[in-house]
Amino acid sequence: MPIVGFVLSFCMVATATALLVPILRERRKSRLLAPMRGLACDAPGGIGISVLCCGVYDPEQIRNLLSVEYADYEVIAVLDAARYPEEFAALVSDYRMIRVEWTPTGELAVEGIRSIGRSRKRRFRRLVLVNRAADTAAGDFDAAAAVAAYDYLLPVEADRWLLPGAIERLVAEAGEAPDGTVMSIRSPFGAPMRLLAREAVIAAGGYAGRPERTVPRKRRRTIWRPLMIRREKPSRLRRAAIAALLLLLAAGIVWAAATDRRSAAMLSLATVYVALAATYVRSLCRIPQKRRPNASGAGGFLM
Amino acid sequence: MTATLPMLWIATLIAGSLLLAGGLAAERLRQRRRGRDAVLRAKYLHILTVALLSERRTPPRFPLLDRPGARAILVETLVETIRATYGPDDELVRRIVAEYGLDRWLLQRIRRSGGYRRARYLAQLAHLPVAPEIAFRVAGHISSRNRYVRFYALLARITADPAEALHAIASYPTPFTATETAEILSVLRRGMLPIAYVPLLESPVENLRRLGVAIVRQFGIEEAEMQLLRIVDTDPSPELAFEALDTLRAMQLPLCRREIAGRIARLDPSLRKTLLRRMAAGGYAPHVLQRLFGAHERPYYEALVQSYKCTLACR
Repeated sequence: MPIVGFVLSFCMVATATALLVPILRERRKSRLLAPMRGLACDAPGGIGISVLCCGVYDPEQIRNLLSVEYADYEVIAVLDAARYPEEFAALVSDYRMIRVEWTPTGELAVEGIRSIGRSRKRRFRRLVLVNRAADTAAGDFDAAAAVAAYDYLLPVEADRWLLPGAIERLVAEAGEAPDGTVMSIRSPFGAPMRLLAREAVIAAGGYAGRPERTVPRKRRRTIWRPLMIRREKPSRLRRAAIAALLLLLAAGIVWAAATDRRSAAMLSLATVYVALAATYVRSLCRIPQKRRPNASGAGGFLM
Repeated sequence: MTATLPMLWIATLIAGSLLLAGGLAAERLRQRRRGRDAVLRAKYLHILTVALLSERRTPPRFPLLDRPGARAILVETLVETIRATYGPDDELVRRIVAEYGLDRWLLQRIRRSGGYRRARYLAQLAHLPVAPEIAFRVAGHISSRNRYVRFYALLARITADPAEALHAIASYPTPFTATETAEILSVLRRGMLPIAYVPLLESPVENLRRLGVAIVRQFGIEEAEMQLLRIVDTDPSPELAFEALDTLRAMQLPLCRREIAGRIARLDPSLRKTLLRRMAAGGYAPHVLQRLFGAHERPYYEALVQSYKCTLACR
C-alpha cells in the first residue's frame, strides 16, 4: 500500500522542514542582530539578566560567565561551603569576596542560606556568592533568584559555557516586545537553556513549580541556535538511541520494499531528505572546534 | 490519480533533496571561505585605518574587490569601523562609498532579498554616509510586514536625510521597542542626528516622546525634570510613563512628588516591584519609598533596602 509509505515519508519530511526553516531564519536574524552596538552598551529599557548558577565550582566556568560585556548583568553562584570548602575558599580569595547583609523579601520560600558575599574588586562587582546548604537544584536556583536584582533569570548548571553574544541575543529577543511581554526565551540547541521572567518564577512558587509551563504560549520565544554549550561528549545512551532509531527506519524501508516499490522509493528519498536536513542543521549550528571556550570568553567561538 | 500522486510526491522529494544538497554545498563553501574572508577583512581594515589616519582626501584602493563576497566584506568593514569609532572622517568614507558604488550595490541587494537579510542590508546602509536621495529609495520598505525591515528602513531614511528625521519618526507606524530606541541612540551618539530633547518630549507623537526620554536618560539631562514629570503624570502610554519614571530614578532625582505618587498608584504590581528593586539598588532611602508605596509593600521594600544591595550602593 503506497499510502503508508506516503504518510510516513510526508511526516518525516514535514518534521525535518519544520525544524530547518526556523533555524535558517534564526541564522539570518542573528547575522542582523550581531553587530547591534546599542544593545551592548545601553541595556535598553533596563532589561537586566541575572545568571543563577547551581553546582558551578569550576573557576574557569565562572570566568566565562563573568566575561559578558552587557551592562545590566550579574552572576549569582550558589555553593555549599561545608561540602566544598576548598573550592569555596578559592573563589573567596580569587575574587576578594566580602560578606554582605541580606534580608529575604519573602517572594520565594528560601532556606539554608548561610551567607552572601560580593567582591571588593569593582570589576567583579557583578558576582554574588551565596553560601547555602546544598539540597536540590531547584532550591539553589530559588535561593539565587531571591538574591537576584534583575527581571530576567537564567539558570545555569555545571559544564555550561556561554557563547559570545549569547546574552546580547537574549536581550534583543526580550526587547523586541513591550516591557514584560516576553516571559520565557529558550534555546533548544547546544546545552539547552531557558531565560525566564522573574515574575513567572515567583508566580510558580520557584523552580520546583516548573515555571516554564505556567508561561502562556504567546509570551514564549525560541531562539533556534545554540547560545550555550557543554564540553562533555553526548552520552552512550543517546548514541545508542539514535542508532536504534536508524535501525528501525532501515527496517521500515525494507518492509516497505517487500510490500510495495513506490513506498520504498518514497521512504528512501524521505530518509535522504532528513539526512541532508540534519547535516545542514549541524552545519548551520556548528561551533568551530579549533578554539575551545576560553576563560575570557572573547573570540573563543565564531557565531 | 492513485499512480500520479506518489510520482508527484517522489519528484517533490527529489527536488527538495537537491535543494538541500545545494544549500549544504553553499554552506560548506562559505565555511571554507571563512579563513580567506578573515584575511581580506583584516587587509581592508588596515587600508581603511591608514587612510583615515593619514587624512588623505582620495579614496584608497581596495584589492581583490571583484572576488565573490569581497564587496560585502568591504561594506561590513566600513560599517564596523563607523560603528566602533567616534568622529571618523565622514567625507573620506562618503567618497569610498561613492567610488566603489557601495550604496548602489546595497540598494540592489535590498531590492533582491527579503526578510532579515533585507533588514541587514538596510542596517548597513543606515550606517554608511550616503546621499539624501537614498532616503526616498528606501522609504517604501517602511511599510514592510517584517518589523526589522520597517525599522532599518526608517533608520536608513533618517540617517540619509537627518533634516527630515523628526518627520520620518513621527510618521513611523509602530511604537519603538527598547532595542530599537537603543539603536537610534547609538546613531545619535555618533552625531548623525540632532539632540534637541525639548521638542521631542513635548511632541504629541509617542515615538518622539519615547526617543526624547531615552536621550534625557542617555545624557543625564537633569534640566528635563519638569517635562519628565509631565509625562509621568499625564502620558496615555503606561510604558512610556514608566520609562520616564525610571529615567528620573536613574538620574537620582527626588521622587517624592504628587505626579510620581499618582503614577505609581496606577502601575501594574509587577512594574511596581521592578521599580522598587531599582530604587533600592539605586540607594533611595526608606522614607522616600514609604511615601510612594503602600503599607502592604513595606516589608518588601524594607527587606530590599536592608539587603546587601543597599549596603553596597550606599557605601
